[in-house]
Amino acid sequence: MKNLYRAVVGLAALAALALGLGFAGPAYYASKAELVQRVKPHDEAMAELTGEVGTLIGPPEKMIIADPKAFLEGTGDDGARLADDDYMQSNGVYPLQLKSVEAVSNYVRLASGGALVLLGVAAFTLRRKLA
Amino acid sequence: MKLIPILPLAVFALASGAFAQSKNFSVGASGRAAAQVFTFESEAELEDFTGLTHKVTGNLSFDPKAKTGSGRIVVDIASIDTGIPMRNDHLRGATWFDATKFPTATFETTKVAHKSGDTYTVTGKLTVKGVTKTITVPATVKYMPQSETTQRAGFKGDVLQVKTSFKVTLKDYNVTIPAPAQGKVGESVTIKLTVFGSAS
Repeated sequence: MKNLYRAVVGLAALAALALGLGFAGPAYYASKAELVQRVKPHDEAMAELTGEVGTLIGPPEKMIIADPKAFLEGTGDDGARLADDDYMQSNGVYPLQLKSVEAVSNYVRLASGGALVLLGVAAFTLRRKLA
Repeated sequence: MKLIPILPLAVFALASGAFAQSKNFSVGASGRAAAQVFTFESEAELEDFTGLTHKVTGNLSFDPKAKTGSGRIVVDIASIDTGIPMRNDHLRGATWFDATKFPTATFETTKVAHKSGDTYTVTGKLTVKGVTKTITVPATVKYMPQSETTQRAGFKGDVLQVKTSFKVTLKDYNVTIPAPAQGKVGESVTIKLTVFGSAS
C-alpha cells in the first residue's frame, strides 16, 4: 500500500511538472516568436518592375524561425518581418507557428491538470487508508 | 451626297479606334511561370496552412483608357502544395478537391467595374470541383506599358499585373471536411491570386 501511495505521489509530481511546463512552454516560445510575413521574393528585375519585394504568402503570423538567414531586409506594411519562403523550403526550415505551440500546450495543460486532480484524490484516499 | 459613303467609314474608324485600346495578355505562357501565384489559406486548430501553385494560365483583355477588361484564369488544382505531402494527398482526395476528377479551377469574368486608381470590382463565374457560382471580388490591376523595365523582367510586350483576394465557403463548392477534422479546420478559405499577363 505504501509503495502504491509513493507511486501515486510520484506520478502526481510528474503531472504537476507537466502542468507547469504547459504554462511555461508557451511563455518561453511567445518571447521568441515574431510577427512574420512569408514572401516568395522577386528577382531584381521583377522587384524593379513591380516595386514589391515579392509575392506575400499567407497572412502575417507569430512564428518562430530558427534560421536567421531566412529573414529578408525590411518589414511589411504591418511591421511583420519578411521571411524568404523559397529559402526555407530549400533548406528545410519549418516556421513554427506560436498558435501550434499554444494548441499543444492547451492539450498538455488539460491532460496534466486532469491527471493531477485524479492522482491527488487517489493519493489523499491512500494516505487516509495508511493512517 | 459625297458624305453618305464616308459616314459609315468614319463610324468604323472611330469604332476601330475604340476597340484598338483593348489589349490581350497571356498568363503563364512566358518564362515567368514562378511569378504566377495562386494560394489558398486555411485556418486550422493546430496550424494554419497555405496551399500554393505556380501553375496558373489564362488570357486577359484590358483597355487601359476605358479601364475595363475581361479574362479567364485556370488554376491547376492537382499541383497545389501545402508543404506536407500527406496533407497534399488529403486535399487532392475525393472529399476535398477531388483533383483526379476536377484537376482545374477556373474563373471567368462577366463584368469589370473600375473603382479608383488601380482598384476594380470583378464579377465572374468561379468553378471549383465542378460547381460554378457567380462571385464578385475586389481586384488590383496594374497596366505596365512595354519598357526597358518590362523587358529586363523578361516580358516581351506590355505587362498586366492582376491581384485579388477573397474568401470562399468550402461547402458551396461541394468540398466537405471529413468528420474527424470538423471544427478543427476552417469552413472557409482565403483565395489569393497574383498573375502577370504578357502582351504578345
